[in-house]
Amino acid sequence: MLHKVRRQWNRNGIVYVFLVPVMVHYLIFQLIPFAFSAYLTFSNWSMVGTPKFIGLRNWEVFMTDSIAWKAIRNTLLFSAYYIVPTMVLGLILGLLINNKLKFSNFYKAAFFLPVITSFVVLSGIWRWLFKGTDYGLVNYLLGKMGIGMQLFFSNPNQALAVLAALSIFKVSGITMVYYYAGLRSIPAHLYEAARIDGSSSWNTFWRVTFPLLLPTHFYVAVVTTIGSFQIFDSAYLLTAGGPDRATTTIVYYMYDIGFRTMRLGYASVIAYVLFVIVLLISLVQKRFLGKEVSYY
Amino acid sequence: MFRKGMQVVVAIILVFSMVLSGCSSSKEVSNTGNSSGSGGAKGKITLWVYPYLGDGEADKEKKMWDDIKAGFVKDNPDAQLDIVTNPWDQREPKLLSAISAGTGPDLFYTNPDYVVKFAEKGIIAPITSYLKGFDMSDFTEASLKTTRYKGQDYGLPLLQSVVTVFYNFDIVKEIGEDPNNLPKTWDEFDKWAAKAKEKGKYAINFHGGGAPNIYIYPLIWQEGGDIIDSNGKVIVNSPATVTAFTHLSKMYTSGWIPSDSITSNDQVTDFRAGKFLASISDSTLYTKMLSQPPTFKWGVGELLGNKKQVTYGTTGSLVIPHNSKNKDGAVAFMKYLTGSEASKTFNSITKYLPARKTAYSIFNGDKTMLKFAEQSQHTLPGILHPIGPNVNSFATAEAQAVLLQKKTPQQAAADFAKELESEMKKEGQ
Repeated sequence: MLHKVRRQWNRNGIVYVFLVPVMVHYLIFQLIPFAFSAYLTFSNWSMVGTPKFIGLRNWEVFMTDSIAWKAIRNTLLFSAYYIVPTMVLGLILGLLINNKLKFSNFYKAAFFLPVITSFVVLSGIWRWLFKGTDYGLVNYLLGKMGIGMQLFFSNPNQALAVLAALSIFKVSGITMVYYYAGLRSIPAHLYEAARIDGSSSWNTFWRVTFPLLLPTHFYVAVVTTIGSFQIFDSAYLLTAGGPDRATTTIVYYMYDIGFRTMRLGYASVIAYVLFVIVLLISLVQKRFLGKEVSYY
Repeated sequence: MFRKGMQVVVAIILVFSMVLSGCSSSKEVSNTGNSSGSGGAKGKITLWVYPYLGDGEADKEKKMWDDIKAGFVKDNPDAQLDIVTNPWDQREPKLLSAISAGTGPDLFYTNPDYVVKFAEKGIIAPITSYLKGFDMSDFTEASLKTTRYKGQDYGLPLLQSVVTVFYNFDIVKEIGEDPNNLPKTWDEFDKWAAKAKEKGKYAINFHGGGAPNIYIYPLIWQEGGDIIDSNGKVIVNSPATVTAFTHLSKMYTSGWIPSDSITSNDQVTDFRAGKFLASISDSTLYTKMLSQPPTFKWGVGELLGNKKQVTYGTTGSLVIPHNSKNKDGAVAFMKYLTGSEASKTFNSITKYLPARKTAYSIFNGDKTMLKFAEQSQHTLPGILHPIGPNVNSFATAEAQAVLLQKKTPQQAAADFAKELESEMKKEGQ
């Protein structure tokens, strides 16, 4: 036995040296909280004392909790507003900086700037831009174009879209970087061959560039989907989940339940529902976008 | 094999939960040490507070805390006092996480609804035994009500606030009214509001995006109603709530409050810019008006109310987490900071009302603060019930539904009551 261990150690020792810290980290910060929150879904706990086992009561509450279901609907709607526009804008920006335009480095920095700017600062700018009064800046500009005053954050049909626009503005810079990396990895000879065959730029984009970016599309789609389901900051900072809960998202509701009402057990149920939704959507995305790409 | 694996997982979860819970209980802290407020405090004492002054006045606030700290340490040379100023934003999550992990403060500042919530959940410890023989007659009756729950004392009050009405006297004159004869009822105010609207001004602010204790509950109280009575019964589905919501809706549809009032949480800036006849606010606006004077003349009016002249006023208290490592020291510093002298220092700078009557002398000559003091007799501290903090999101959503005309005031009042009753069931109340 000891001999076996020694042989194993001699062969793979260095692997274990590097693996153990990662596994310990994974155990402490991922696996144990994951298991603990699973236990909490069957418990009543307010962060002090020992969790009290209450069986399926939290899950029963969830089934009849109209606010939780509204939060799920709002989050799905937010994803619809957010995922595709973020990918499209990121791709357009990636194509722009890949085209070696004059001042291309400046554009890279300018497009990336919102990524490194605090959400609090950007939210302040958004609040100022989209103020729902006649002296709000966007309303002023709309007025110049003959369009009537909009309520934006105070309109249940607009508030979520305005928050999604903020997230798109904040995140497009990073999707630009992903797409730029994807574009750089496409071999130049494929474009050369397309040119020799007389393919137009439009045709080349749809027949060569777009399909060969499939791994990037998959990665960006998964990352933006997960991001869209985690939306919290803008709903917290700009609308507090309103008006009439129109911007109450899953994470915002989870926060509210966990830290305002201090029902950590029920908040864990919502966390698990979020986990299952994201897992299912990621699996669907993998099925349709996660294909191998061959460069020939 | 599977069973063994499950045993290991269960063991890990139990160990983890025990670590998180700090193997602690919410038993009352025992009075084992000297806690007279001077002389005997020992060891490290950590206090968590929040910025009480506005932006740009951090240095002034830091100096105030340094002075208070120096005063305490002079009397208690064996104590190491650490005063940590945290941001207001997300204070409960930070506090709860720290307390749960055993890295929280020895005492912290909180408001009445959370005193009740924390006490009910066992997050803070009762300190009744520490207060035996401690003279509390100098504290105002209203402030002491907010630190007591189920017959136990959970803290000592540091400050009080009063939500009142500030007026732009230039606009008052512009609409042909007299700044020396300000409205006392909403009916009187509404007549002024219509005139202000004609002059292209808003009448008053309404922050529908939050703080219902400032903007929604007082409207209900002023009509003679309440949200939850002293027996813990939900009484919000009443004619008073319907009248309050109806009035709110009228103010919105008449354009007396701005169109973004449904989710706005800052219109006070626009009051200071001269766009409003009046503004609902507390002494934080007063300190701002003093530090950055507006271009117009202004003053504080009477409390508004048709059936009752009543308003919201918080009491800021100091409380002790159940797992504080130095409860003796924490109580000693609590007594010092809420004592008459330190209270004078704190409240004269922050412009909050002291919870101690003898400390009111700091405002001699300051007519505005004396007016706040007079109005503080007519304040209510919000909802003192274990579901108190939970109520806010329901109140906000129902008021928003009324402003959006998605619900009638009657529907909103009825739904509000149902939601609170359901919330009480979930909390086992």
